[in-house]
Amino acid sequence: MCSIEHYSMFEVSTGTTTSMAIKRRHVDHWDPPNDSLSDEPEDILEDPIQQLPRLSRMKLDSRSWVDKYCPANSRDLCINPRKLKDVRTALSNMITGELNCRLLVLSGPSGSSKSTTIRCLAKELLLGKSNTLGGLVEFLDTNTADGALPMQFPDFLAACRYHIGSNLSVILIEELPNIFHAETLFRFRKAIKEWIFSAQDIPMPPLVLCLTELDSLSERDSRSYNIENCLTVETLLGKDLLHSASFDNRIQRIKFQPIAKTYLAKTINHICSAEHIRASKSVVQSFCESGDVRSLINYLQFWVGSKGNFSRFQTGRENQITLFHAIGKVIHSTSDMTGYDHDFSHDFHTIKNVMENYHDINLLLLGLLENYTIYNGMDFETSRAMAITESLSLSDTFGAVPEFKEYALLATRLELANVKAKGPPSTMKFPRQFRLQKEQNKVSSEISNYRRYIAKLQVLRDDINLIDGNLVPKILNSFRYKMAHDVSKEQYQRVGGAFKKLFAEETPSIMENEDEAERGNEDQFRSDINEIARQEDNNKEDDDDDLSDAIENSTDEEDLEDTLDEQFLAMTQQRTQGSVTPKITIDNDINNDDDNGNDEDMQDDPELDFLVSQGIV
Amino acid sequence: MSLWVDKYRPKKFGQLTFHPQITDSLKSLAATGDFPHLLVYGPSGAGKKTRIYATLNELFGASVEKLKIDVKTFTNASSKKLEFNVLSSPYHLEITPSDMGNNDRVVIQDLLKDVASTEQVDFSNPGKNGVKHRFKVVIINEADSLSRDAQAALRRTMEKYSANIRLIMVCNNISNIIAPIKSRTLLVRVPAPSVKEIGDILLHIALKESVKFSSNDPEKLRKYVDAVARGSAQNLRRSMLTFETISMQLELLNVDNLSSATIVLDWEVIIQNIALSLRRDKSVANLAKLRVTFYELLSHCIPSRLILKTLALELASSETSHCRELMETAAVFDERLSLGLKAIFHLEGFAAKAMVIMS
Repeated sequence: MCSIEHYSMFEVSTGTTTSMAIKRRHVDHWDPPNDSLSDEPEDILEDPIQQLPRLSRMKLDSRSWVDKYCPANSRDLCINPRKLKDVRTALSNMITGELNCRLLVLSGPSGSSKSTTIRCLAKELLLGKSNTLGGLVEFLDTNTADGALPMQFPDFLAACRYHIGSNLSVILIEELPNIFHAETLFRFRKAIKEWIFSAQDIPMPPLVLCLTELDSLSERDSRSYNIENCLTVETLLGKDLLHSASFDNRIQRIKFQPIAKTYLAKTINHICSAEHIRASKSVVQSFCESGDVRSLINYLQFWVGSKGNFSRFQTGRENQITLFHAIGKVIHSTSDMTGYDHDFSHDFHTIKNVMENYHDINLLLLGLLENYTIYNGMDFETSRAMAITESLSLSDTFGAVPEFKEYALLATRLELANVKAKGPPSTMKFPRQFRLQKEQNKVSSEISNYRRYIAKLQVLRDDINLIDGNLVPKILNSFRYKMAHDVSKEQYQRVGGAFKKLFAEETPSIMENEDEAERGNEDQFRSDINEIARQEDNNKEDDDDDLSDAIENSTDEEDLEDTLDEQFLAMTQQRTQGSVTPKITIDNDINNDDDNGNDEDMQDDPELDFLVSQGIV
Repeated sequence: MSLWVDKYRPKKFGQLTFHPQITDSLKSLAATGDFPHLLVYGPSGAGKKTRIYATLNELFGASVEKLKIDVKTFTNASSKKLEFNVLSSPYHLEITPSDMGNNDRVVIQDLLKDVASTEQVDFSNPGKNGVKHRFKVVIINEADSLSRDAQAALRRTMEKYSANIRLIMVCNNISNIIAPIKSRTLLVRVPAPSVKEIGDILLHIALKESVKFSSNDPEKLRKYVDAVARGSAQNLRRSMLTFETISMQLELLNVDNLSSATIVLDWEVIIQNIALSLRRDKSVANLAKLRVTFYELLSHCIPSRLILKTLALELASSETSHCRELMETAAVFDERLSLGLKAIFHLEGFAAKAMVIMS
């Protein structure tokens, strides 16, 4: 019997997904973990490895330790007390309804005690105020089989409105509906929006969203940042929603960090003493690297269960690092000396570590270019800057061979390692490449439109951009030209828009609402282009002799005509945009996602949008 | 919207003013009723297209001026539909590879095949003029931006359909055109017009448009229009646009003020400022600041190699003692710009190196 128990324990601890599932199940009937201290009172040994044969004879609890040692109250939480206080204040304000806040968003990496904190606090804060057990209602994607899938979340949220009064519960959204599906995401945002903007005097239960933020899920389409490859609060809820809710603080955001070693060590020591394991300080230390308390406990359990004979490096959670983290390591060198091999230099080790743990090296190189100048408050020799940019430039020419990319990282590190003075670094910036591409697309589509409708394809693109783009507006804007041709039109802008400085930002810009900035400045060229396009379209319809095979075009231009028929246009948009990326059908679903979220904006200025999208195609 | 540059564009051989030799050889070529594939090259604003259209006019008559825009659709290998615009008359087509993006090979092949086969149908019942013009002309603009792939495909197509199609390829520089194509075409170089030739044209326009000058002294007028030509780097298109801009903005052109005769284009101003800043402040902080400006230029689709070239020349002209090193460095980074993917690495690399060279 003992051995069977043992196996099941193994199974649970090997995969995070399994343990997550089990964790969920426990939510439904909230029971505090047993105190197993009384089971085996005398088994304290010097070395955990020697102690193991005894362990297997122990009467084992079949639950994984993650559940077994799930904190029963907020005092035991493995979290910075200040963060706990923040969340407690926010949540109790929501329960009493004192402030406007309707949605509390907790974001952070996995295993940083987000949902556990909410669970503990919900129980404590609602004690005596509500009859519900645990004080928590959680959205589960699978538990409502009836109804259309995209409507599950709105239905759930609508039902939750009645968890007030004596039924008061905290509503927790941890599991998300399939937000990669356009319709579902749209419904999700809409439901949240309605919730947030419900009238102030209606009592509502506190709504909490726990989001494990994921950075660049895939490299496939690294042209832009959107929900497809980057799940963050911004991409999930949408900029519009966050922006409109920020005026009267209807959404409160609390960011969680990976858990600090001190708190992890405390938890480990607690578990060790409860399980009667005496782990040396170095072992505890080595466990505390990842900052993920869940995986940490799983590994601890597995380590003890496997008689301590697998090394931490084989199984330790791979420390996936974020872009900024990776840039920081290259620029400032690392302090993490895991597996430090003394045959090689410290810098070599740093780069090896980064190469192993960060996958998008091209983005990293762009990030380095953007950020190498911050080292030592921008105060070092230009010859070093030259060497760094030289290596970055060289490695850009080498193509996809990873070794060559490593060269640039190593060169950057070595150059910066030789900078003597240590000043404070400036803040890191996100590479501008994505915004550059966005701008380029916009400019290039405007040039295409100008070339197609105004220059009638008779001027080359480069001539338009370099020469005509600057001079022609000057001519057209001049008083004498207007006099001579008896026209009174608005000012013409430079073709493709005025030159704009492109500053780096600290966060990746999110690729939605592409045309926000566009709406403001009306440009005469743009309206001319629209006018001509409309005329040509009319001519085409009159002209029956047209034997050219411009069938595709004429359908598209008919769409332009029907600007009033917004719905039809939105459909075309989806069609044209969907065809931008040559992907298999599953991906198209994901792609449309964005379009749907944008529908509202697109309808504001469909004609322009259509032109832009046409240009991109 | 009728600009002088369009209004005064010569339509026929007789109206062309400069490069009489080229005009004569094209004229004799057109007189035979047939011509080989052509590769016309030379700097922009030298009159390449004008000469090509004059040739077509001679061959086919004024109906080549009746241009219309067709949209052609193609399907590429991953069965994605592509659309692109073709400028056409009954006798010719004009295409630009930059409109087709990465699919230029498919488009070129399909389009030429399409044109070649439709022509054959037309020839089954020849008109009363017999089979005089049994070919259709395809003009390929910016031929140097065709991918290697497309050029290789073109080479086969040129031979296969030579009975029905004549190609006229237009580009600024033939260094990027593969040798087999150069060998299959008649190379026609159209050099930039001289300052005097541009000046003549501008004076002619000034007369026609009755532009008012502060003085009618022919010598001063000549100096003024020469300044316009020189300030526009002997690019006729740019000269004419500049001249029109100046005369539209000013009631009276002051021939004594030659500096008013040039317009530095907006992107050139930006690059000049980069050069100035590079020379003034050689620090890492300034590199970070200049990155913003480089991105500004790139985001406006200013070709990265042009940025590098303009910047290098700008720097070299003011730092004559370091001219050689600067040019050498620029050459290295110019190569990297064509090899690499992201221009910003190389532009900043050049800026950093230029700082070190100049300090």
